Amino acid sequence: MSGSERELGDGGHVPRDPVRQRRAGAVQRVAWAVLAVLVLAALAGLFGPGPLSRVSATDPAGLVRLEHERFTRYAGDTDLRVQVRPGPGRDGTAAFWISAAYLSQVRVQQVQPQPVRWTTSGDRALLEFAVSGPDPVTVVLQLRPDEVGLLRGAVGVPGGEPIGFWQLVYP
Amino acid sequence: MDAILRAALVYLALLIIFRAIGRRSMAQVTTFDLVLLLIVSEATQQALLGEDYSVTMAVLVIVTLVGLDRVADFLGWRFPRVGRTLDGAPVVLIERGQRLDETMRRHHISMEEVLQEARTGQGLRNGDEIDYAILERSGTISIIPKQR
Repeated sequence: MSGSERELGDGGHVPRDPVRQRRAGAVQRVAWAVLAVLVLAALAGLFGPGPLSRVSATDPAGLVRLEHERFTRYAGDTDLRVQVRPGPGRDGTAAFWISAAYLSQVRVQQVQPQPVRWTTSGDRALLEFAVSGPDPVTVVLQLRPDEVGLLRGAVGVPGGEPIGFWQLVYP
Repeated sequence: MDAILRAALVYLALLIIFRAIGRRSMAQVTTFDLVLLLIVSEATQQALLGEDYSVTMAVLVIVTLVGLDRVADFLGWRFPRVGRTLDGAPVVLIERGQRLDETMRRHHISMEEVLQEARTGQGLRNGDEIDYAILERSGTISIIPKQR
């Protein structure tokens, strides 16, 4: 870059300004550092799937466990994994609820396994699943965020403590 | 993470493919080569983005591709052997008016292509007027006419 400038320099049309050149070089180096940090942050999961993004939480009673991504992208794929134990006195079914406000901000692509019942009451959507035995069942909800910004939601079992969570959706 | 890894993988795959195929294919020598280039970009777009059309994804993919290209440039400058592996070295096709047929055959370049380049670039009529013809690292052929 500087080589060609030197060749043109004696014509007088290209002003040689070492201060400005040095400043431009410094700006470029800073820009490169910023981009490198951006790539590393993305690798770590700050802009989507990755180790920093994936988190899990359990309610105090240990009845439900939630695993989700804190950072997702608009219209990108993400999932909620809910592990729930069959409730006491409810033979053959496991149930949990999700806040309806959260569900209205995402598009549910698929729920695996299929819920046998999906009822909405107030600000909660209750999902019930058929299970056999006392082992916990893991439910995967595949989602696509439909809104940009901070989404808040909560998951819980009927009668239990809710697990609140947040999700940042990049444009 | 997925965006960066996808972009890096596609970059690596394209680098290997185009290095293996030879440099002429990227120089847009014919209309069909241009069409091929468009199809390649269409195919890689799917692999790069999947169904994620978010701005964040696009920015991450672009930053990764451009950054990797710059890193490859730097490595090629810092370590000349790496540079030769990545980009190859310029190849002399005509030396002091003398055709190097063996070299031209190895790079699958006919005299027709050299003459076309000589006509469009230098306005030369025939091969006798060429002093040097060099296949550059970019895939183009540069022509140096004889001094009159």
